[in-house]
Amino acid sequence: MMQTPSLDSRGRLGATRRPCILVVDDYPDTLDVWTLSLGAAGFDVVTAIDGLEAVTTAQALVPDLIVLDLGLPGRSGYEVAAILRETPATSHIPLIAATGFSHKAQLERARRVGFDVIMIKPCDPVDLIAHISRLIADTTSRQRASN
Amino acid sequence: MTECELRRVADLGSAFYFRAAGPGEPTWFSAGFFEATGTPQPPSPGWDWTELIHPDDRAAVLQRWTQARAAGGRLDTELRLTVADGTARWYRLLAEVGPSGACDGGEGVWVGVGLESEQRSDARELTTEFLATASHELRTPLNAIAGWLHMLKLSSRADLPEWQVLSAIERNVQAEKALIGNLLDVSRLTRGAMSIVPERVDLTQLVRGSVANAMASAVAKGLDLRVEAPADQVTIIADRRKIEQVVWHLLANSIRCTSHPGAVAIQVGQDHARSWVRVTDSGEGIDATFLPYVFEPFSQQPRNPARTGLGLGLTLVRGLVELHGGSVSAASQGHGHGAVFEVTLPRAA
Repeated sequence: MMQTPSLDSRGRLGATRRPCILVVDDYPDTLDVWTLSLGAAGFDVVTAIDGLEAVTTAQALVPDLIVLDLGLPGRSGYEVAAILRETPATSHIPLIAATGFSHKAQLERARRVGFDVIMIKPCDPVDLIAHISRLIADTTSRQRASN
Repeated sequence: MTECELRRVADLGSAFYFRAAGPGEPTWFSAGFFEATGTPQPPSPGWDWTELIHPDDRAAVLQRWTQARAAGGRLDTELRLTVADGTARWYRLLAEVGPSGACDGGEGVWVGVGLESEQRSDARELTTEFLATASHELRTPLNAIAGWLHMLKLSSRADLPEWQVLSAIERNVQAEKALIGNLLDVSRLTRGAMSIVPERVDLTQLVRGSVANAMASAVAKGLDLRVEAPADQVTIIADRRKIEQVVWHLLANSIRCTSHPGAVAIQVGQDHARSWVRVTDSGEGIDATFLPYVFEPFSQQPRNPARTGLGLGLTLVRGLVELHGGSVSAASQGHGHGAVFEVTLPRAA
């Protein structure tokens, strides 16, 4: 089970908890199955079904990582990423784009708005979990170094 | 180059430049636009430049503009503008929404150029749009299948029965099959390669069967789905499977666009010359600007939160009905007021 250091109720570093992943997709089956597979891999999963819900959930919970579809109703995944990158409280969150788009210009735009990893569907869950684990480990290392 | 010099350059030639908060929300146009269209400067309050777009192009342009925001923030489309002498002139419209940090205060603002265009490239644009949409839609169920297969490979879990995983895979295989089937059917219709095998069909019975198949999805959404049919038998000469497709697509469309607490009613009827099927829903309705395009391939209402699929269902409905010598129409009082789709077919002799 993956665990990440966190601040306890008194603000001390050292407590451990399961990393929290926000998964955003407008296809309910994708949300269901990724909730199960990421849960089995040791993550707590929260979900959002459109871009507006993604922004409010991300700002309220500040998850450890976000897996974001690009073609979303409400606000697109590009817009969500841009908003989160500009907000100080969420700018550090690693972002994975998991998208059915495959056109070069669409993927290039995803890179420009600040996604750390871009995966084209169908995503192999093993690869998705590997990317999530690596990005969270990198973030944790950076936080330790800065402390 | 100074801003003043850039503005002078922008006023040269027949191209025009613009800045807009979104589709139909201009904040600045260069002089070329006003000269070409004969619009007085400054325009009157409440002026909407999109009213200068040719009526046959307007809904499609606004739809592409909205889609561009979701698909990458770039718009490249062709349209006709009504120019000063009242005729229509073709333009190529290129626009990009400002990414964060692009310009001071430029985030979310579109900047663009309109170039006079001699030739249209509809086919090329349609192909690009289609490939982007098809890629997204066809990969979506595949992605779910890959996820569920992964779960199947994990050691058995008491809280996740195998039948549940298998039925999820089956559901997505069916979704994929339907997408590909629709694509091939539209292709056959377009090429004139689809034929019908006519037989005597009891339309009421056919509709009741389709409603029974659609009932689970209506119930799952908390919708009231009912049939209204006359006591007399309504008989048509038609290809049973294709009329089943028509009714299924109409029901699926209405159920998808209607939320709880809502209702979908399907009526069957006939008069001396024709038989008809009418599907009425209390769903989100259809904007007047989009109404003329509901049967066009790949068209989906831009603000539709239930946007799914390739946008081919209603295209198939029209094609299959016309193949039977019938017609289909759509009506709606606009957003939030539901919709009515009516199919008429020649009555059996």
